Amino acid sequence: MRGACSIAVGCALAAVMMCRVHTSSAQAGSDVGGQPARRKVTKLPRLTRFVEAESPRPQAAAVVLTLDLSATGAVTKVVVAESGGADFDAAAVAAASQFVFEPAEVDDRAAPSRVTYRYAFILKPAEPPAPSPAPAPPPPPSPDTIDVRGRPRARRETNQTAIRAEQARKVAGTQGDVLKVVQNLPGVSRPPVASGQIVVWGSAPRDTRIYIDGVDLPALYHGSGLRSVISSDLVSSIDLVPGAFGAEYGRGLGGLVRVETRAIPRGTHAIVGADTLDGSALVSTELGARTRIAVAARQGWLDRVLSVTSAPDIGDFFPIPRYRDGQVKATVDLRRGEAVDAVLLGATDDLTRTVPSPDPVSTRSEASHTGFWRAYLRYTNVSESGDTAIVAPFVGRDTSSLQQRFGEAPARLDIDSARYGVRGSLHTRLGRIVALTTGADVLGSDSAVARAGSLSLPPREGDIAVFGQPPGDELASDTWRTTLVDVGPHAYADMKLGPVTVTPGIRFDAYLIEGSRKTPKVGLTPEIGFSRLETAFAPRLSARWQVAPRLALSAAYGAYHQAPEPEDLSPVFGTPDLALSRATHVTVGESLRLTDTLSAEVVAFQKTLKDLVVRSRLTNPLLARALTQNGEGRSYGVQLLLRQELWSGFFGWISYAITKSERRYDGDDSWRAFDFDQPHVLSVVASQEVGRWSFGARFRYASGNPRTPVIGSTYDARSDRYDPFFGAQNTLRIPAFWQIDVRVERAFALGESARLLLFADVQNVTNRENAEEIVYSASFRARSTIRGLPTIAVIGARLEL
Amino acid sequence: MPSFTMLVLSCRPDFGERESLVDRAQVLAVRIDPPEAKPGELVTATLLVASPGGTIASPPASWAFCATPKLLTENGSVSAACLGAGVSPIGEAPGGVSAVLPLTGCFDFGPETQSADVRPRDADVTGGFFLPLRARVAAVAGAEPLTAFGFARLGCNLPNAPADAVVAFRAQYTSNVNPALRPIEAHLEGNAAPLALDQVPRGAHVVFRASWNPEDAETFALFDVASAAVVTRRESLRVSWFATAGSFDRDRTGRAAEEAETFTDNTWTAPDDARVTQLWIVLRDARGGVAFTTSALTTR
Repeated sequence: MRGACSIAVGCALAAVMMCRVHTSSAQAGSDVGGQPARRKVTKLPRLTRFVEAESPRPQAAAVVLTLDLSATGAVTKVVVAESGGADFDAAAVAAASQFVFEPAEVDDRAAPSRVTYRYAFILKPAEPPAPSPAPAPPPPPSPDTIDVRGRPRARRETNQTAIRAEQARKVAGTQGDVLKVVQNLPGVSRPPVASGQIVVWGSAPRDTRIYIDGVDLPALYHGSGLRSVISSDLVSSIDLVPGAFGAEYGRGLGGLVRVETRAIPRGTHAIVGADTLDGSALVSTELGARTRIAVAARQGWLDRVLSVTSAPDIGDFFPIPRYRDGQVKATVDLRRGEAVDAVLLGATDDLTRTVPSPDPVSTRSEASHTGFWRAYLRYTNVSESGDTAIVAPFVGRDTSSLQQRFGEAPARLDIDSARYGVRGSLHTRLGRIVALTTGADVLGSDSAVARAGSLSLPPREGDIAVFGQPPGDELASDTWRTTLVDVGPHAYADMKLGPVTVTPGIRFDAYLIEGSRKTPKVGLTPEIGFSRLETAFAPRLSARWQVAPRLALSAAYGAYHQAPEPEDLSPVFGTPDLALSRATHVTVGESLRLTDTLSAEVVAFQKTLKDLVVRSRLTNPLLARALTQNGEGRSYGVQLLLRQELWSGFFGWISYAITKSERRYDGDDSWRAFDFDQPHVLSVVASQEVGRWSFGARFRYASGNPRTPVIGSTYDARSDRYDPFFGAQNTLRIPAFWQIDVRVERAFALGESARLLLFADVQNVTNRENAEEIVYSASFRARSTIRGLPTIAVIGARLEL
Repeated sequence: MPSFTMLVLSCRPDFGERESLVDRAQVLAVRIDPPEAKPGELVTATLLVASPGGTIASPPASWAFCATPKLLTENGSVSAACLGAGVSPIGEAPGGVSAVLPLTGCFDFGPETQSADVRPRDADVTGGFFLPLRARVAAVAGAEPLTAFGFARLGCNLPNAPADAVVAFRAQYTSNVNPALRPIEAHLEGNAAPLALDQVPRGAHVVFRASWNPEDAETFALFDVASAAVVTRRESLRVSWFATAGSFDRDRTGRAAEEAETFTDNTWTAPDDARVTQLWIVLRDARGGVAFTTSALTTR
């Protein structure tokens, strides 16, 4: 074609180099964000021979490639990570295959590495032939991201599943929200609809801890579970550790979700997105040579969308709060290997529902607000010797307010917690065999709690009730303050003994637990507070044996502790003397790499839980002892994961877990099913890119949660309602759930630096009527189920500049 | 920006069960007289039992006081133990029974405790403590007996209140009395003229009005646990509507504490055939007082 031609250049969208040693990061270059280093990257790969691709047609396009480099710097494999069209892909792959690099070095030794490379075909106006010399070839551009793989080593968490954000975004059913992919990872049960809870390996939702860059978050999702609380464009990766995690984390009996924020790219960029659920925007830019900043915000509007559709009253069954969140991240490069990240993030959810009735007892109303913010700094220093020091102080606040009214019985729970802490670690290599990491994390919270209403609201795990049953109409009231400070020094060592890597660790937690009242307020008696110190040693041990190049065996053990929640320390509603709950995790597993990109993993696990907080069973509970620590638990099972990494535009996984999670009151002869027990959970995720199109599908199957059957009813003549009486606890199950979701995405290039993505994410394409809850008629003579969400198409657009 | 949602409303199942339709034998009310008494005082309980054939007069019943307080884990009104052996039997008495409230009532179900180490029970939103009275009613010969609980409001001390609040409470509090229903009024929808209950047109929409005296919405003193002070509240009143045929717009109506009206309306759609329909109206106040009335509606 005359009049225009295109040239092909490789360029990095962002002159950012992020060095990562496989599953844990080492820091080098100008950006040192990320998790503590385990190995030292002493040299990044450098492109020494650039080959210009032959543009297939006069059009701008960009192809993102993943290049595998050998220890000699040769390109051994090229995979299209983000297509620019089949013909451009082929041209880019052909050219990149001829690139030559200076190899990366790990511990001063050449090492294989992986480079993410953006190859841009730039449209250039045609010029008349001229005898002038040909323009000089563009300088070798910098890669986008570099993943340097040193010698095989044990992962820090033997049970960790990590997902890169760019893959997570394409998973069907997540609506492009990268953190929602957690719900499809092995070991994660399906949460109740619109709850956003995370149940891993049979642990209670509140027992799993969530961290972003090492700083704790109160929740991963907004209240409805529709969206995560962090902009997907600020997320680099998500790690899920359902149990037996290492010594640097504690305070939780369940699992661990770690979110790592993305490095801010150089240049100025903007992303604007909108879909059925919400609208969002992100802008990032450079402020001088050493500082970059990114600002993101999101506003939910699904409640308003529904109000103008045919389903305005869907919120009566599935509460849809109005949510919003925002984040600011700034990175300042101090010196080589030294940087500071400053992050401010926050989110809020608001929900107001009223179900009026001419019967004053039947009127229902609910108003809730939850919110949090965190501000933290993260200083990272990677020395020339490879030692890595990270210090991350933070402050924040969590607030939640819930006011409900069931007829004339009010219920209220307000919690306002100031949170503060610091996490610091030093990673040092001691010779060729041992790498030692020492650190400490401190977390404090000062909470003011006000609660009124029935003791049975909010419900606790183990309560026997049916959906929709009003709480008791007794009215108690209390206001109290608590201070919980935990200092958790810890240390662990990676010891590589031939094919075996052993990681012993130890964590010591000292909890200061203080409260404003030890006994209920009676008359004018003055407040008598309490203060005590609870301590716990938590040994951790993991080992990985690389039996063969493609086969590894692993095992892990850990002891875990969890402090009581501030709302459980009330002398009226709870027990001020609550101590630590305890758990032990044991796992054994096998990892088999079938091909370079296809792997299979099997993990068996067992958790034992002791001193769980439960309601008192005494007919006459003792004063300030409404809760006791007579709960015991156990969960065990096996999970399987067959995972295909990105290969020819395809990725996906099949995960299946068979688990059994049980609880009992201390001394009971028999165990009962845990309220969130799901014996079978299967997820199948697949995504394929074809040119500018991307197709994804997801299939989920999950056993229903257990419920206690109603075997009869009695008439309450005062309230004029029937009360159920129950059979054996949790011996009935909600029918099993299965659902198919699909996603279609189309990319449009808008010039050389802009891209428009249109997507449709359709949930429940078969419109299956899944049962979400068991309900009864008013007299409890008939039983049925509430059906879940029908087919929902979330359609949206995303503009990247 | 393209954006739309395709939703087919998820739904809660319709059981086809109307609480206001009497299609089986059922207990509609248990009136305690007086509705509030102290332990050791005599109270009389009266059953209202309905069936599709009309009121079941003096049905055989076995009575017992519940003797086991409910656990903190229980949401219902009574302990599951009170369905079994956790009761103090009173005896057999058709239609109703008179009994003395157990002396331990305020300890078992009230705020008083035998030991300072025991947690006192919480009052309901009206400041009341209630002693459950179980009735097993053999409404239909050969069928499983119906189980219903009436509740006697206990006059207990305020052991956990400041002394000045106790004094103020004793000075201000008046025990609850049962409300009284005034004669039922009816008219056809859109026609304010009174309608005779034996002249109801088939399929007609009939507006019933249940009313009571202004003093039935009593004001009462309440020890507010949040402020640890004595405050004044007003009773709400609610009406439960029952009929053996036709259908009510609402199963329950009423007036909240802040509403001054002394009546509540409900529309009943008469059956399409000529028949006699039994109508029951039960009035309850917020502190446990009960009144009820029965009428026969003849559709022509």
